[in-house]
Amino acid sequence: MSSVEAQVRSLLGSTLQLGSRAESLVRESALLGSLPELDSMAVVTLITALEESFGIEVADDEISADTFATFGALVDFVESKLAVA
Amino acid sequence: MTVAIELTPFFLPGTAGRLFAVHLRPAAVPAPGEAVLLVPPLHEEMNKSRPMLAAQARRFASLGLSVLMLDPYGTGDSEGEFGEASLEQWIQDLAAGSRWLRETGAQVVHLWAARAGALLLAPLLAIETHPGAVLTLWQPVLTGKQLVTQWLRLRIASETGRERGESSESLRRQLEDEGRLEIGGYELSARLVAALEPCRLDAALAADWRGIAWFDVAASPLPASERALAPLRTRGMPLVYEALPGEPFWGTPEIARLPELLEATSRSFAQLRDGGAP
Repeated sequence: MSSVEAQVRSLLGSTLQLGSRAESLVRESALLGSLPELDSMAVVTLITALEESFGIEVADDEISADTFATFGALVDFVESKLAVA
Repeated sequence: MTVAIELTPFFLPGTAGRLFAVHLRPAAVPAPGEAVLLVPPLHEEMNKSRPMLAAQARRFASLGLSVLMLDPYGTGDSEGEFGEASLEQWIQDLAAGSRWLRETGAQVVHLWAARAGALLLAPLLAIETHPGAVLTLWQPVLTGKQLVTQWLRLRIASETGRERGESSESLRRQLEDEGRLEIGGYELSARLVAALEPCRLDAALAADWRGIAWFDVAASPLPASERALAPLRTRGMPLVYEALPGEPFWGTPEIARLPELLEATSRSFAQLRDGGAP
């Protein structure tokens, strides 16, 4: 497991208060539309936490359903951001 | 040691309307010589943070301080609507709170700002100086630009925002054309956005504090915070910076508590106030 994945998992867990459910997230786990905790306020708190922790910048059009569709998609997104940073 | 606290909710007369306020002090001390004024978070973060703010206020009071928490005009339980609020009015309201603390016996009014409250510090200091104050910061928002971005994102990330494919650009145009924008159930005025956007925390950090205690809720120190703190270290300002892992209580779906933050805040405040090495 990459350290990015571990960090995204931990941020998701604390921001959405997933408790032990954060541990059971796999790449295919659906996020947006599937986790009731992921309301717009939580999305914004999560994006801010990702930006601050990874030193990345998220653009408006990246706040899309695709980015937050699954856990794997979100990890890939952060990794792609870090690759260009 | 448990100290009996006297808690009094009341309305403070503001220049635009009555302001809901809560005053706390040790029951045994009618007029404490030192006080803390909360500069609260804004928008929905204010509501989410209330239990943590209330818990910290009790802790400050048990340290022997007079503590005032007030909802600026158009926020919380004060008169007025968020859409009618202005930065100038909020600053007037906070200054009125600070003066009230002095009138009731405080010689020193310390400041405690959470999240976006940090952006109000510089304009507040411009009309009301706080000599000898310790500044406590809870995950401060560093720039008004960040705050506005965050607000616009709330709209972009909402169902409406995603359906309409809204962007900061389209929302800013709407704000300009209509003078207001609905975000998460609050009306946001173009005037407030324009006034908040240039605000910066570093303008307030440059003031003369007795010490600064800064806490972030994060697994490790945040690079942006470290950058903001660097000039203070150079100046030799007494400083505490801690990153505490936990749930970001100002934005979590359910109300969250972080007792470690309360512990660290009280401990650092006492150290900085008493001039001991942190």
